[in-house]
Amino acid sequence: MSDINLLQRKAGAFEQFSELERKLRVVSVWLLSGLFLGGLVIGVTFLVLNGRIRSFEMEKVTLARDINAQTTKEGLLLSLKDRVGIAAKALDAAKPWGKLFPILNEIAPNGGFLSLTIEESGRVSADMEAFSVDDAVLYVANLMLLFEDRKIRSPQLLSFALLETGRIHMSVSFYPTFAP
Amino acid sequence: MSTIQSTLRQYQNLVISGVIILFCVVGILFAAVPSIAKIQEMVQTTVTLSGEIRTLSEKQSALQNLDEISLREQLANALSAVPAERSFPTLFETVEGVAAQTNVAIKSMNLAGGTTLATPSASKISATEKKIGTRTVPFTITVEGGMSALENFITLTPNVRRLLRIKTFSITFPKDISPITISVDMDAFYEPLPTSVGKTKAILPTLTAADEEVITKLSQLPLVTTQTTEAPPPLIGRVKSDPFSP
Repeated sequence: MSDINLLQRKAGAFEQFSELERKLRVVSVWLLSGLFLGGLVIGVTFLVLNGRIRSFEMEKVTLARDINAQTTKEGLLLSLKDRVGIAAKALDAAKPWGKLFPILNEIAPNGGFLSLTIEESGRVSADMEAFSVDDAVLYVANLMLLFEDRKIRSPQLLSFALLETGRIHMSVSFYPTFAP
Repeated sequence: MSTIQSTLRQYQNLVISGVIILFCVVGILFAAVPSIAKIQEMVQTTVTLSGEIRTLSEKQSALQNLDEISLREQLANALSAVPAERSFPTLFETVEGVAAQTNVAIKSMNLAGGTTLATPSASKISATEKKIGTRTVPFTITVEGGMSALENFITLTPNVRRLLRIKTFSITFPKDISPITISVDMDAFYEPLPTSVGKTKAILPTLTAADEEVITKLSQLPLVTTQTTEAPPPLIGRVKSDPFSP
């Protein structure tokens, strides 16, 4: 038995066209609505932002004018800041050599120094005279004690000579730290 | 002609929809996209302006809170410690003052090295000055006095308002109490003041605790010059009437 189908298997060209037309209409309506709404949002945002930018620019101009009116104060502050920085450097560079004398007293309490030279590097070279070996040993021991207390650094015994008179001539060098 | 008309009539809705879609696409491409880009730019501008206004507000507020009289006084103190020029009068007066206070006699005082007579800012900075971080006037002074007086001189010299640095010195200790003569190589510090303020937008520097400490220390140092300290000339923010004047 053979089947007889009187209906068309495919929709007709007219229906396909109608369907396409309907879809395009929907798309066009959505797109147009989207464009309209987007344009509205963009327009409002533009107006708001433009207003804010104008307001900020006016505020900026006012603030800049106020700041420019206080240039003298700003100049004084900048000069002071600059000067204080320079003064701090100068204070650091100026070593308190007055603090060296108590150190000398600690090395040789009975005053065994003959001469003293201070170099720009901060190195102190001293010629000393001890009445006996015990005194000389005491001077060296005192130097080491000051080194341990971090009051001086790099102590060196440069020369040590026993003189005919029985006295001892010695040269030492060190760097005072001027630690508080 | 009638064929075209009938075709248009047949596809009228399709054409209208197509035109609308085309219009929307063109609108998106040539209006919406550039507008969005412009808005992004405007948002960026707003953020930048907002930041600038915050900075300017802070600067304005900080400037308003500053006391000009106090600033002038502090700067005058700092300038009496490290002047803007070599200021030989204050240098000689300071050394004389220290010598007088410590009872030592000045035998001689020589300015060492070549001291240019040009404006301070025109003079070249030596390697030592670069290392220290400020310009110096090197000089040598020969003083005579008792040992304790010389000790006092060495102690007081770096502790007066016109800041001085002892570079080198030698002492030959006397066998008795007779006065001794020593020669001391010294530096006096000076540095020209800055001559311009930064841009309006530039952040205002603040005085740190360390700065305040230095200011206090400087104000506590004795001023041994007889010259009065005046408020500093406001180099900044003032236009010179004669541009060739020093």
